Amino acid sequence: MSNDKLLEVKNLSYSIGENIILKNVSFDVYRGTMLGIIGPNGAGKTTLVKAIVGDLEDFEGAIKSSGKIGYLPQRTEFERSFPINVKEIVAMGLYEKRGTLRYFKKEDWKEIEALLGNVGIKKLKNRRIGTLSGGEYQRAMLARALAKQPNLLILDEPEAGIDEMGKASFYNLLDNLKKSKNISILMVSHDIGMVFDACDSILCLNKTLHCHKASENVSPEDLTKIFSPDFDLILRGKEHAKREHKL
Amino acid sequence: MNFFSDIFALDFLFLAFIAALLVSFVTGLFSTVVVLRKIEFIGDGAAHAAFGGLALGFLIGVNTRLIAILTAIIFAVVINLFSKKGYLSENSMIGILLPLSMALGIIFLSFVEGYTPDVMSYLFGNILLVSMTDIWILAIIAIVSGISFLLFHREILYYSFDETLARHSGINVPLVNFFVLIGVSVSIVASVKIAGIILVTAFLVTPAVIAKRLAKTFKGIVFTAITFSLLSSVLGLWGAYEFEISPGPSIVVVLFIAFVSVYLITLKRKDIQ
Repeated sequence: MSNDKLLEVKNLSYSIGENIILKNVSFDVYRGTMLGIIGPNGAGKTTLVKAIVGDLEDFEGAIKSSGKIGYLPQRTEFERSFPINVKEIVAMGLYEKRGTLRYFKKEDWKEIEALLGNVGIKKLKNRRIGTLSGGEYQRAMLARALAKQPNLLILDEPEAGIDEMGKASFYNLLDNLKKSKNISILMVSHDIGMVFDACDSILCLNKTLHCHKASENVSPEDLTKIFSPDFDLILRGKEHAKREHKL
Repeated sequence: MNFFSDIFALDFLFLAFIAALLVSFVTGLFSTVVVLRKIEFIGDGAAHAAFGGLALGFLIGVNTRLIAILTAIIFAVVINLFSKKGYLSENSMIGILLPLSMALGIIFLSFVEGYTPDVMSYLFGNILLVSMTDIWILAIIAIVSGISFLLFHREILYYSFDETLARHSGINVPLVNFFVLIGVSVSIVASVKIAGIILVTAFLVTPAVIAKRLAKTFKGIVFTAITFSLLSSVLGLWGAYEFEISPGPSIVVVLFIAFVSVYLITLKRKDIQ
């Protein structure tokens, strides 16, 4: 692990009225690592991500990031017939770099095709986004996030809408991207087994930070602390992770 | 008597014809973003607010068009803000504010001394009210809207698809949102004499709903919506002239017939269900 710190979250707290959403959350993200954030519904995972990517302003504490962030938000519902194709989705990611009132040239479209090649869906470039499967959709969104050439990629529940086979393939792709592009990945997920498989370290969150450990060091007790109502399910996830890692 | 020869023989018909074409172009253009962004309720609300504004303009003796545009914009911005913040549901807000705008309009008109404008003309349109000033204003709105869509079609497309993704791609979403709300409000007020307050929503919704079933790209939908809007206006005006009925309702009926026809023709297309 390199000591190149890409993100520093210090004493982050956020409340809505009396309702505490996050309390004193602190952690760092280093270059070339993949960090998984797990926690039950309402744990503040998405709020934490929103604070990091700048969608939340009135929080306490400090967030310092050095370098560009690529963001893949939670999948939202949209009309299947919406008239936007895969190429145009990726072009969104190039918008900031190219600027307003600038038409895309040949080399821009070549760059878009290369990005689609990186995520393995080049042949789908002209398909309407609504006609893609869950895995293909997330790959298109990943290409959009990669277009910014980020050194930190933040993904909020990227496994949503993807089948089991697709999930494994998607996490494999993330791992390859992490290695080939030397980027860091911060990922919120409900898929505990996959997170343990893919991530170097795990952040257990339930309003406050309960643990931040290397994935192989996370104990069942760490998980029951944050998932008490669902601990059976989570333990099974952990067992799956253990089997995979042959711990 | 022939409709197409009389267009050039009768001044009022010529003005109405040109105004209808310009209104169709502008509303066809904005209907794409209204339908894709799913903000039909804002168009409807702003149209009713414009009625309150027109009536207030008559009451205080200030430029009615200006007051109507201002009230429509304020209404559109407030309703948009409220629905985004989740203070009240869109349906509740429309249920409360839409009748209020109409009620205030009627109350304002009842206090107007001397000549009281014909309410029906504003509710359902009246081509006899179209003046050369209206044509100039509509032409300017059409040119500005057309150029804006040409230059900023990418921003409008991304904003319509997903505001969060658009914002994280570097698009000034509040600015695009404001442009759309102003565009919708201004096009509503500019369309009142042809379409009427009650019917203008059909102009702002139906063309893009038709176009969405026929075209697959954003540009294709914009082009198809404008084409259907223009054709419906010409046919609607012709029908109004031949059967001696109001042009606004006639155009709306033509738009509806076009929608039903296209819907039935494309019924088996699975990619648009």
